[in-house]
Amino acid sequence: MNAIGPVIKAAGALMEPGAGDGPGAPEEGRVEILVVEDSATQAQYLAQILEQAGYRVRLAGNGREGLAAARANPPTLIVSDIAMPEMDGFALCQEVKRDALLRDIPVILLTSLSSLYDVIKGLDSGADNFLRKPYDSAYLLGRIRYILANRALRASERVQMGMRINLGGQTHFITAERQQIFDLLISTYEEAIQMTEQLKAQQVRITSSYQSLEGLYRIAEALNPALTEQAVGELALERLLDFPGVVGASLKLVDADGSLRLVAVRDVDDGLGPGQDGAALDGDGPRCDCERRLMRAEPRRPETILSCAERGHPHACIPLDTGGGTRGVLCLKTTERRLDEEQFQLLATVGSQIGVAVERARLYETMETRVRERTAAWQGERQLLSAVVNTSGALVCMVDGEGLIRLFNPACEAALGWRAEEAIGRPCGEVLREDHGEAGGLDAGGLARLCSNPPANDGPVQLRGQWRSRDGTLRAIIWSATWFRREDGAVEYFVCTGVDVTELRGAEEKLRYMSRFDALTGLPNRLVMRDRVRQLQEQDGVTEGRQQVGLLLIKPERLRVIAESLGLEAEQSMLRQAAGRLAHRQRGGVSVGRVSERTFAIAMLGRGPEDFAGMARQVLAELSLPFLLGEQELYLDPAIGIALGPNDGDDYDAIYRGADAALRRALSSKSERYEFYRPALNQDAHARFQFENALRGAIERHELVLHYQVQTSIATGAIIGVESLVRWQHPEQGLIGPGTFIPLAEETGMILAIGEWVLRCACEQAMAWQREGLPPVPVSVNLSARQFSEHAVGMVERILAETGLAPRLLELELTESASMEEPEKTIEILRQIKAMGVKVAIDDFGTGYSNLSYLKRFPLDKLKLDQSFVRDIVTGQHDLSIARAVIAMGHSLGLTVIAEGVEGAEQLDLLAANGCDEIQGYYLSRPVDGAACAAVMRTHQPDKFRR
Amino acid sequence: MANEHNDALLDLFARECEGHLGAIRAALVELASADAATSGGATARIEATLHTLAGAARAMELIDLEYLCRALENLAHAGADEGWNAPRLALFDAALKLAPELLAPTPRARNQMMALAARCAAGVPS
Repeated sequence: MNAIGPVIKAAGALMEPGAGDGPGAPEEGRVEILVVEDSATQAQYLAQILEQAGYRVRLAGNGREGLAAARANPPTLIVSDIAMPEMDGFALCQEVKRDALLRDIPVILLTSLSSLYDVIKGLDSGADNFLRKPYDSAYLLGRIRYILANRALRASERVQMGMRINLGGQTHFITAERQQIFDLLISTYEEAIQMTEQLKAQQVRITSSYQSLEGLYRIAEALNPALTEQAVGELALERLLDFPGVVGASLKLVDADGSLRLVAVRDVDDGLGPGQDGAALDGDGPRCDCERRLMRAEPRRPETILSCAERGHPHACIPLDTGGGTRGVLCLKTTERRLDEEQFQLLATVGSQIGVAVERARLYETMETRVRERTAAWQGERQLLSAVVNTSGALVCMVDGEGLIRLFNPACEAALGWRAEEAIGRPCGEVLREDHGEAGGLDAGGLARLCSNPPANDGPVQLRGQWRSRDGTLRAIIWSATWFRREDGAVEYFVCTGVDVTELRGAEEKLRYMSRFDALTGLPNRLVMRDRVRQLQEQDGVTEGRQQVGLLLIKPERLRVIAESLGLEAEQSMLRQAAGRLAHRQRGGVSVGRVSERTFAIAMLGRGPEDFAGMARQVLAELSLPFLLGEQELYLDPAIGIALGPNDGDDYDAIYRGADAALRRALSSKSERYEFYRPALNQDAHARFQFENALRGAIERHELVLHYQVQTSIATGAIIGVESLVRWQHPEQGLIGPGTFIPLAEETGMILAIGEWVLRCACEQAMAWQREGLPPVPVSVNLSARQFSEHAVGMVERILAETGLAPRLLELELTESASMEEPEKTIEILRQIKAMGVKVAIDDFGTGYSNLSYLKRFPLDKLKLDQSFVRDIVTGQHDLSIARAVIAMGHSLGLTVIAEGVEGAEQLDLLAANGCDEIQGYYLSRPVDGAACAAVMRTHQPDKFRR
Repeated sequence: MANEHNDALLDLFARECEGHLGAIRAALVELASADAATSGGATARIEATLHTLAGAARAMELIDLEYLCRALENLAHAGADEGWNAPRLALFDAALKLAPELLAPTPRARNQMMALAARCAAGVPS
C-alpha cells in the first residue's frame, strides 16, 4: 500500500539508498568487496548488484577461501553467507576480527534471522552488520554505504564491551564493540519495519482477495435467478459495487444492430451524491475511448485506463465475453488505486458470467416469447376447435385408452342427457348404452366393445343403433369411431362422432306415413290400397280359385254439393265422418282406404259376388244414415262400384278401372246404388238382395210355414216322433225349401229370428195335436250352427215354458258339422239342454267329420243316418257298409239310430236287417202341414212298417 | 483481523471510537462558525484525535478505519493551511457517518471508504 508510505519514510531516513554518492562514483570504484558465498548463483547475483553500484567484487566459495582471499589481499568490505562448508560465516568473521591486519574490515553477515543465536553468535564473532535474506538490493546498498561511511569512526572507537546474556537457560559471554551493537540494533529494527510493511501489504491483499472472491461468489449467486437483461444488469451492478475498489458501474449490451444500449448504471453512495466529482451517469453508446477500443475487440481483456480523460475518473472496461463473442461492456468506475492482475482476472470471469447470464436471459426471453406465441397460437387453435366442437350439431365424444370419457360436447349432452362434467371421467359404457330392443336389452353397446377391443386396422368404424339417453328416451344415432395409437401401438384415444338421426327418423316415419296414409282421414291412400290388392291376390284362396279379390269404390255423391254450398271445411268434416264409419271394417282381409279426393275404397276377399254385394249393402246402409254438421243433418247419398279380380282384371289398375266404371253406372242409376262391373253379377246380386229383403219380411208377413214328417219304430211300426221342417211360402216363387234360404238366413243373422219362430211354432203344434187327442210324440226341431249357443238354452227353456210342451216331447237336432265346430262348447250346451229333459239328436250323421272321442262325450239320444246313405242302400254296397257302421257305432254308444229318407220297403227291410231302430221318409209320409200330419198320425198302420 | 480480538475489547474500542468521533464533530461545529484566527486550535484537536483513532484502529487491525483516519488527517492538515470551506466540511461529515460502519466493514463500506479517501487525496478546491 503506497498510502502507508509515510511510516516507511520515517524509518528509511537512516538508510536512504540514495544518500551519499550515487553508484559508480570514484570512491565506490576504489572499494573492493569480498563476497563469500557457497551458492554460485547467490554469489553471482550479489556480485551483479554490487558491481552495478560501482563496487569491485571478489568471490570466495566458503569461509576458509574467503579468509585466505582476505589475507592475500585485504578487501574494503566482506559480505558473507553464514552456512557454508569448511568454515561458516561466524568462524570467518571471528578469524577476520582476530587478525590484526584484517580487523578493521567490516563484515556483513547474510542471515535468515531464524534464531536468536544468530544474533549472539554474530555479536560474539564480531560481525559488523546483518542483512536478512532475501534482501532488497536497495537496502543492501544502503547498508553498505552506511558502513563504509562510518568505517573511520568504527576504527577509532573500538570500545570492547563484555556482556553476559542469559538465553534459553544458557548463559553466554559476549564481547562486542559498542558501534557493532548499535549497528546490529539498527539493522534488526529496519528488518522489523520491513517485515511489518510486508505483513500489512499481505493483509491488504488477502482482504482484497477475500472481498474479490466473495464478490465473485455473490455475483454468481445473484445472477442465477435473473431471467431478463434488465435483471441481469441491475443485480450484477449491485453486487459489483462490493468488489474492492469499485465505486460505480454501468452495463451496456450490444443490440442486434451492433449498437451499445445502456441497461443499468450504479454509482456508489459515498454520502456526497453521484456526479459531484464529475462521474456523470453513463448513457447509450460508447462513452470513452476504451469502450470504443473494446468494441473494436482491442483489447480483449479488462484494463484500467487512468489516462482515458473522457470519463474524468479511473475506470475499467470489461468485455462481456461468452466465448461466442462480446455481448456488451461492463464499465467499472474505480478508486485511484490500480486494480491488480488478480482482480483483472476475477473481473474477466465476472464479465464472462454476466455475458453468459445475458445470453441465458436472452435465450429465456426468446423462449418465453416463443412459448407465449405458441401458447397463444395453440390456444387460438384450441378455441377455434372447441368452438367447432361445441357448436357442431354432430355428437363428439372422446374416450381414452382406459375407456373413460374425456370429451363430451354439447350435442352429446343434448342427445344423451348427461352433462359434460358428469360424463367426463366415467366409463363410456355407463353413458353410451345401446338398446337392442326387447330381445337384446341394454348394454354398453358397440362403442364400448370397440373401445375395449379395437380392430387391428385403424379405419373408421360406423355404428348404427338405438342409444338409451339418461332420461330413458331412445335416440337413433349413427356413430363413426376412429382411434389414435401411441408409438407402442396401444390406443390412446377414440374419437367418436355421431349424428342424432332420431328426429330425422321421425320425419322419415312421418313422411312415410304421409306417403301412405291420407292426412285428412288417416285411411290408407291409393298406394297402400294398391299394395293391399296385390297382397290379397297372392292369398292361397285366390291363387287356387276359391276366392276372389273385390275392390269397392265408394263415392258419396253429395259431397260435391256440400263442398260447393257449405265450403271445404264442411266437406272435410263429412269425409272424416264417413271415414270413421268405414274404418271399423278394416280388419283381417278387409282394407279400407281413400283413393281419391271424394272416393273411398274397400279391398277384400270373397267367395262369390254375394259377399261383395253384402259388403256393399252394409256400407251403403251405414253411409246412408245422416251425418251431422253442427246441428244440421246431411246425407251423402253414396254409391258403390265393384270389380273383381281376376275376373275383371289381373292387376290393381285394371280392377280399379272396372270398379270406377261400375261406380259411374251406379251414380247414374236411378234405382241401384251399387253396381258390379259385369252386369251379370249385378243381376245375381240384385236377385239375391231382393231375395234377402223378401226373407227379411217373410216372418212378419207369415210366409214361413212348418211341415212335419213322422218317424216310426222299426220294431213296432208305431209313430215315435215328428220332425218339423221349415218352408218359405214365397209370394212369387212358391214354396221354397230350407236349403235355398237357410244359408242366406244364417249369413244375414236372420236365422235367429227364424229359428225361434220355428221352435215356437213346432211346440205350439205339438200342444195342438195333444189337444186334438193325438198320442203325444216328441217333435224334433233343427238347430242351425249359428243358433247353437248359450243363447239357445234360454230360448228353449223360455218357449217350452210359454207353450207348455213337456221337455221330453221336444227333440233338438244338431248337424254333425255344427256339433264339431266347438266340441267343448257343444258338450256344455248339450248338457244344459239334456238337463231340461229335452232330447238331442245328431242330424245328417256321416256327411261331416266326427271326432269320435268328442262324439262319445256328447250327451246324445239319437243318431240320424243321413239320407244320402239310405237312398242307394239297396243297390250300393258301399252305402250299406256305411249304414251298418253308423248303426253299429250308434248302438255301441248307447244311441238310437234313425234312418232318414226311407222311400221303400226294401230299404226298410235292409235297415231292419242291419239293426236300425227307426225310420223317417217318404215311405212313411212326405212332410206335410200340421193338419195333414195329424191325419197321417190318425191313419197310421203300424203293422205295415213293423219288421 | 478484528474478529481475532475478543468482544469486550471491540466494545471498548467502539466506545472509544464514538468518543473520538464525537470530539471531531464538536470541533467541526466549532470550525464552521469560527474565523481563520481561531480555527487553529480546533484543527489541531481534530488532527490529534484522528491520529489517536488511527492508532487504536491499527491496534484493532481495522485497517479500513485506520486508512480513512490517515486520509482525514491529511485533509485536516490541509484545512489548517487552506481554510475550512464547505466541500471540506462535507467530506468530513460523510466520513464521520461512514466511520462506525468500518468497525465491521462490508465490501460496500470498504469501497465507500476508498472512494472517500480518494476524494480526500484529490483535495478540495479552495
